[in-house]
Amino acid sequence: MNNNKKTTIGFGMGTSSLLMILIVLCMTILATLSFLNVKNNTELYNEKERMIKEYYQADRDAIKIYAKIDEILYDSYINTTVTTYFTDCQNTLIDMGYLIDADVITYEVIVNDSHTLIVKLQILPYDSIKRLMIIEWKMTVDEQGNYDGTQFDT
Amino acid sequence: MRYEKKTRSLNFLLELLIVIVFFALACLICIPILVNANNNNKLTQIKNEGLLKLESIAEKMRVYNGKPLDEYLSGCIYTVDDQCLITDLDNDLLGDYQIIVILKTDTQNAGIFYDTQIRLVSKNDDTILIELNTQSYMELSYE
Repeated sequence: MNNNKKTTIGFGMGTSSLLMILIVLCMTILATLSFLNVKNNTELYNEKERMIKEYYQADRDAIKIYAKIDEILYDSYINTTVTTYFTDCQNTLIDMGYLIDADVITYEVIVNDSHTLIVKLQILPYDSIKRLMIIEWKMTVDEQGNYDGTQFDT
Repeated sequence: MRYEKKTRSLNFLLELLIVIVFFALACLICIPILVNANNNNKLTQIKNEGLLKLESIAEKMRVYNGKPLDEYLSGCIYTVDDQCLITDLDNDLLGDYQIIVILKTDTQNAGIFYDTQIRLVSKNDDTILIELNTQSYMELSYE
């Protein structure tokens, strides 16, 4: 009796199918993860770009208001004297709807739904070289968001 | 016995062929997705780097004081009046891109407006990838 039975490990039926399923599964997972990663990066970038553009638009609007105020001060300087300069400036600015507390003018420019640009300017004395000094030029957050992720939904 | 072995070999060959066809189909679907994802990722990286550069120039232009642009911005070369070109962006990702700075001046009684458009443009086809607009204002003295 021959006891030397040969055991062979063959690449039999079904092995290649299993291997293919495994490889295809890996490929699908890899492709899905790459796609999701790129999608998230792109969304993050778009959000950043939108925010920056909105900020610069608000900044431009704030500069235009600054220029308007400066023009008023310039006209007051030309048309008034040292004694009446400040009151004339104040009255004109109040008439035009600006918020004035002593010599500080405050105005706000809306950046987007949740951000506002706040500007505070100081009116400088009659005899100074410049007419206005920027005390504050900062962006504030109006609302904190709900942190459930819905604020990022597009 | 020999007939059975032959049938098994044929079945195996048939299975292998089906597997290869399915694998090719899967590759046909997955590889373009991967290539597309890679291209999009590269574009986003370029945009990110470009946006940083544009922001840096925009911040500098917010306090612009009327100097000639080629003196005020580093690496800036005039192409036409008030239009400046920055070709060397000192970044490998931005090798195919350049920055165009367009300055418009508006003089008023009390001051001067400097309106600046900053664009990241492709060197090959002149497409604008990103554009930022900024403005600065310089008070004039009374004289």
